[in-house]
Amino acid sequence: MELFISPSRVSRKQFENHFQKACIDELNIYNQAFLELSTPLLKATRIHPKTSHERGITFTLNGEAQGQVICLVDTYNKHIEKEDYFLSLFTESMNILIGKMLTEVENTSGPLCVISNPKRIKDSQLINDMLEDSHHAETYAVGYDLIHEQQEFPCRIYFNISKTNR
Amino acid sequence: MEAENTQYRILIVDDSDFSRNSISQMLDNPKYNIIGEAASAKEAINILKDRKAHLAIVDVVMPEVSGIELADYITENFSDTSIIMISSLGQESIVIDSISAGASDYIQKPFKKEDLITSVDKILSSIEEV
Repeated sequence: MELFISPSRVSRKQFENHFQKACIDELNIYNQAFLELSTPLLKATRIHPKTSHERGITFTLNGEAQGQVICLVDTYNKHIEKEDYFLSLFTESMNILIGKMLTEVENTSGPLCVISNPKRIKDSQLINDMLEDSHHAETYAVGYDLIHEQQEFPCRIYFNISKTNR
Repeated sequence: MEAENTQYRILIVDDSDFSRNSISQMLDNPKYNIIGEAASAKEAINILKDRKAHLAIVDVVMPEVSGIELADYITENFSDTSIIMISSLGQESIVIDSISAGASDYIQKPFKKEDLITSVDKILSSIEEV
């Protein structure tokens, strides 16, 4: 299935390749946190619903590929002193990670995509509806660990591509 | 000519509190005076109407009004305020749009403190204080 129209037509396989290569192994977030790649980007086949310990944010994906990016961080059994600060750190970390990935994709002649400002999703059902929709679209998943104050917070990120821009 | 005791007034515009806080910490220096932190273009404009800024550090992606639209507005209405655009995105078209809107520099996140300071100092050094 051809998903995108760019100056050179990009097939699904090429799209996967572009995004896989764009995954960053490690990212320093202003010396206050680090992101480490834990699971490489792959086509998502099983998507687990959001748990009560996970916090979620979404970005709208626009440009030559359109859809959503859903990011979840698992806080199970972790000590978080300031919830608001941690959520802001997580949100900005995801913003930076995804922005850099999309930039790298375009730099390697992949589709040109941008993301919107992030939105925090407090409603678990809403997130689970989005995750459920992922089964009907082209969805790619990647895993990162967010390392902050000597704790590792597993993050799962879904690129849910619902439409191409012709 | 830059006076030795000049304190440069800087406005930080970013919808992320974490980002604003990080930038503010990087600029913790007697020569910089953070006159305000805005989470949106609207807040930034309200601050600029009230207080003069030598420099605005503006995030590209923000809700409702983008940083590029804000840069356009600042260039038009607050011509004494220089602009540095910041973003997680670094695509050429976005950089070009930012410069076209009046930005003097564009820095992709995450940036090192030294890189931000270098850019800030370079822009501020061209400002003449009366």
